[in-house]
Amino acid sequence: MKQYAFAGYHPVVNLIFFLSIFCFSVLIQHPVYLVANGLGSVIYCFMLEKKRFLSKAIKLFYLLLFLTLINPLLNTRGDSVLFRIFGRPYTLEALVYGFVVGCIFVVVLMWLDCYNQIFARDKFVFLFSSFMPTIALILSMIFRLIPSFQDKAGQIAGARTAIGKGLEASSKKDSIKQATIVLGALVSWALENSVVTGDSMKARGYGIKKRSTFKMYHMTFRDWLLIIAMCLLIWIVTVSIVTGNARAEFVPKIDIAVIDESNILGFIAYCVLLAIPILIHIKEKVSWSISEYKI
Amino acid sequence: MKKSNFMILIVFLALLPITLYVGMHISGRGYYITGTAIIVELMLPFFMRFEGRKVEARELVVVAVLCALAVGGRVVIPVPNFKAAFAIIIISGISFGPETGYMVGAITALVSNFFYGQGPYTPWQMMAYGAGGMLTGFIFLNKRMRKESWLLALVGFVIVVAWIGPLLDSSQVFLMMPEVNKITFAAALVSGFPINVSQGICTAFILYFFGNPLLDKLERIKLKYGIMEE
Repeated sequence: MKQYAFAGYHPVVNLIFFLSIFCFSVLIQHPVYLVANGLGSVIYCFMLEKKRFLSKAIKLFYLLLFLTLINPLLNTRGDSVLFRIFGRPYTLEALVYGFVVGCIFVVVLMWLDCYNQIFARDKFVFLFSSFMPTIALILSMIFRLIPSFQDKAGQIAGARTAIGKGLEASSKKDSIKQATIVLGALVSWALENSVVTGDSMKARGYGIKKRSTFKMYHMTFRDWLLIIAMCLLIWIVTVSIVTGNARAEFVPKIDIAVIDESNILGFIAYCVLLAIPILIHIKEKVSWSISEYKI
Repeated sequence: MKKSNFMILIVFLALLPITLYVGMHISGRGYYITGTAIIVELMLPFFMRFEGRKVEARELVVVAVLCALAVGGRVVIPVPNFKAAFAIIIISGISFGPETGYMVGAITALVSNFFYGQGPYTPWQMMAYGAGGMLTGFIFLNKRMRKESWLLALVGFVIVVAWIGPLLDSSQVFLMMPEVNKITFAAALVSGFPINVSQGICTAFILYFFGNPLLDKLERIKLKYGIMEE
């Protein structure tokens, strides 16, 4: 897996960032905030995905279009009626609201794409291991078992192909039947093996003492710095939401809070929060090219 | 009192009421966050109970193996969209009881999303799969019922179409739909129905031809090594 600059930080830092971004993305419907969020997600997603970005963006665009057009069919509230369909009014407000909801959904999906790149399995297991050690152990076991099962399934299927009972049978029903036979053989083998593994664990003293966990991540100064900065920003944005400065209603009437000098601080804090991974990414790129230049 | 029991009490007496109270007072699309938070909080007691009781190494490995089979079983079957996951979760629930069924279901959903990408639906999937495993565990507490292949298939079909499927579809209402009401709920259920039926047929098919042999294998392992005996 490729290493990204933001992924180099402690898992707790990544988790705080993504959790706050997901919550804010869903909660804030204000168009100006939404534009900032959209820009942030698109830029960061592009930085991480590069070539695959375009095909993903096109798919998300169609989803956005679909969600926008479908909303007025389900939701007939709103003052300005555009036309009537199936005897129900199709209103402008519902159309706009559908667009906003679609945008929110697409932005969340974009951030999730970034999350999947940054938050690898080992980070997840690391976070779990501190308060749910048994579940963390099961997770790491599963991650190892799946590839080994897939290899074994390939071997079993290969052996059956050699005696003329391969998975590529003439009919669909036949091929599913063959697949279930392979699955059955795999299950028997896997369960027998599991007992051997369990006994081996017990023989090595599993369950006698509290299990220690392998810690790959340690909090450093820059992690603490970033956590404090993020908490501060999150606090400012939360206050601005609670006081109604990011409020926006679309049905039945469009009503959006005005952003002026008195409440611009919340918006700036939101923008800085969104820009954190992007800035870190750029900083890493710059320092890398400087050190390349020195050689 | 045991630490895990204490934590479960905290979830029910403090965490859930606070979430509901805060959730009622946030504007906009806050209900998605409230819904997700409640689902995660309802999962916590199950996981904590699993942590709290001393799990034998053998049982632990068997749960891991069942989850890995449910996730990895897909590659064996050459037909696209033909998932063995539900069938294996259902069989785990039947063979090892409701609690293990729940754990296998919830962990399977979590792990399979590491391979196919985590989404906003991950907590919903964990809940739905886990609930499916748990419910079959309760239905088949009577051991004699397990012998009938057609009954396995029927229950599998009904559970996927009428229980796991609708639970999964309900995530769409909170996430994509502009409002939570009867119409959007019905729209989500109707749009998900064909997929649920096709998944139900897959599950019923696998359970009919494969349910009893697999259950026998699990029973044999349980008998031979004495795993998870009450």
